[in-house]
Amino acid sequence: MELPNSSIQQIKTKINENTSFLDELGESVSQRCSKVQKKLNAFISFDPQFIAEQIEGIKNTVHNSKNLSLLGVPFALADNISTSEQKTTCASKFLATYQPPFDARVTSILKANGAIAAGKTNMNEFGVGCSGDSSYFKAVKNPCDTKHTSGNGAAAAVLTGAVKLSLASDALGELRQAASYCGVIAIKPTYGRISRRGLLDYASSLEQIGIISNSTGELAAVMETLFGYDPEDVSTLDAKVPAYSLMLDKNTNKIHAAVPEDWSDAPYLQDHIKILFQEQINKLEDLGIKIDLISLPHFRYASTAATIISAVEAFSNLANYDGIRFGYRGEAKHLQEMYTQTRSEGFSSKLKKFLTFGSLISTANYYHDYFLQSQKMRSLITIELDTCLQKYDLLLTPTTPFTAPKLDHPSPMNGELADPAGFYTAAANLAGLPALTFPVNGSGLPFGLHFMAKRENEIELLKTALLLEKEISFQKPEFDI
Amino acid sequence: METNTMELKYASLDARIVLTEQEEKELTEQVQKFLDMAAPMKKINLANIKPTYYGFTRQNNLRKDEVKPSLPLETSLANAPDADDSCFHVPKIVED
Repeated sequence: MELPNSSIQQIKTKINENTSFLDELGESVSQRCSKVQKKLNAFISFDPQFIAEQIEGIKNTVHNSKNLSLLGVPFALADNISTSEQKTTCASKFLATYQPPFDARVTSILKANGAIAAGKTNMNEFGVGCSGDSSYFKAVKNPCDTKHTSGNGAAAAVLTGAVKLSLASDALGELRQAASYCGVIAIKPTYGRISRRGLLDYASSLEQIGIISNSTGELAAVMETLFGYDPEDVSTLDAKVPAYSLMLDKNTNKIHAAVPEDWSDAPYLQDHIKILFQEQINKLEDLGIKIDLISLPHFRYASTAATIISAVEAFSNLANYDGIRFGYRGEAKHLQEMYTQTRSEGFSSKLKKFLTFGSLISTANYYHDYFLQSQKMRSLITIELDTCLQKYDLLLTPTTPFTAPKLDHPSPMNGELADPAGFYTAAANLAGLPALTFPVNGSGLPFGLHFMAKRENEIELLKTALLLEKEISFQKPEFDI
Repeated sequence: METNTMELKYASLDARIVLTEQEEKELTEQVQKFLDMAAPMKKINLANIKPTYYGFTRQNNLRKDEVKPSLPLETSLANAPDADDSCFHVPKIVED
């Protein structure tokens, strides 16, 4: 069985036709994950025995499970999403042995719908950034060119067909940036659409679990399954979940999109991204999408404001990593020394600096000019985006100003606190808007087109992605696994 | 605005983190570079704008105030670096 070429529906049909197919499926998933791990280091936890146990479990209950929406579908979770049967390390030395006492809400939903947990994917420590250089378990290589980062393991695992879908967190755009680096589709839904229970987040007001897939139709099916109110997460939306799969096929009105007129002012914007994006605008216009250049004067400050807010929230959220109830503990003679030893030895140098920065910005000398100013900027950007999206269906930009950076030089901003990869993506997190990245063919490494839509209007993103999938002859990026 | 070493030392102390001299030097440079980059945003007059603390437009969805089972004691203690069958263990509060 060729897992990368089988759709979710085909997997389900084959299982329902013949349950012995499950053995073949389990073997195929294990082999594929093993190859991907060996070549790219995409996983932190991956255990063929655990996959085999799940296959046995499905076999024993398959007579009652035939209609489960994700029956037999292999998935991966980023290693900051809690799993009671696998470690959840946040790619940090601090949590290298941590075994969560419960499943995240998304983990429970996927398991209850018959999906197979293939492994936990690698990421930046605690999900801070997408440079691929701060995992305690070493960097993830890009499937398209192993000298480059893939941003995280979730995108690499989907592109290479190790899994059909993966979930990862997105605070300033990390999920979408990695998807852009690897040439796959990813959606960060409206804030609150997916429960964050069991996500070990670092920036609560910005961070959301998103989905990576190779296909728009499958993305729609997974969204229907994962979206919805969770009584154990006060921030989830108590809103009706649309039947995205059915709505996808319905005729769409002519799409009217806006592009910020100063989109090419992004720091470190590569020349070839500039050219490719302009080419894509022309192609979209040829498809009948009307595109206007508009003024969004404060959009350019989104990444700066989001960096400040996320650092302060990380300083606060990660305060409970103290070595008492779970995780790493440093040797110390007394309690205060234990706190500092534990945190100084358990966190990477990069994270220690980020948390200290968050602490600094929280102090009286910086609070008003930087933190409060960022929260006000957040209001202004939200108003600007809401106003823009009243008139336009979508806001269009590149996903990142550059393609996947080289691993020996993780980012053009190497050594800076603000990641310029978030220039286009952070605004959606500030305003809680849904956003999707769609891969584009280039001559070199992949890059993504980034679409933002009105709050709770994910269908507009899916319809646009489906249009591009059908009309632009997109070929999956080449890779050798 | 310039950040001095003492401010960073106090900030790391608040975060219960000890930075090495090298890390302190690197962070001082990074903070300075970041603040320079953030300077244009700082200058914008936002006096009449209210801050947003959550990208969330609806009310919190609170569940009913009903007692539900909590984690068993054994499970709660399972990840602790040092515990017995009923308590977390910590070093002495006061140094000898």
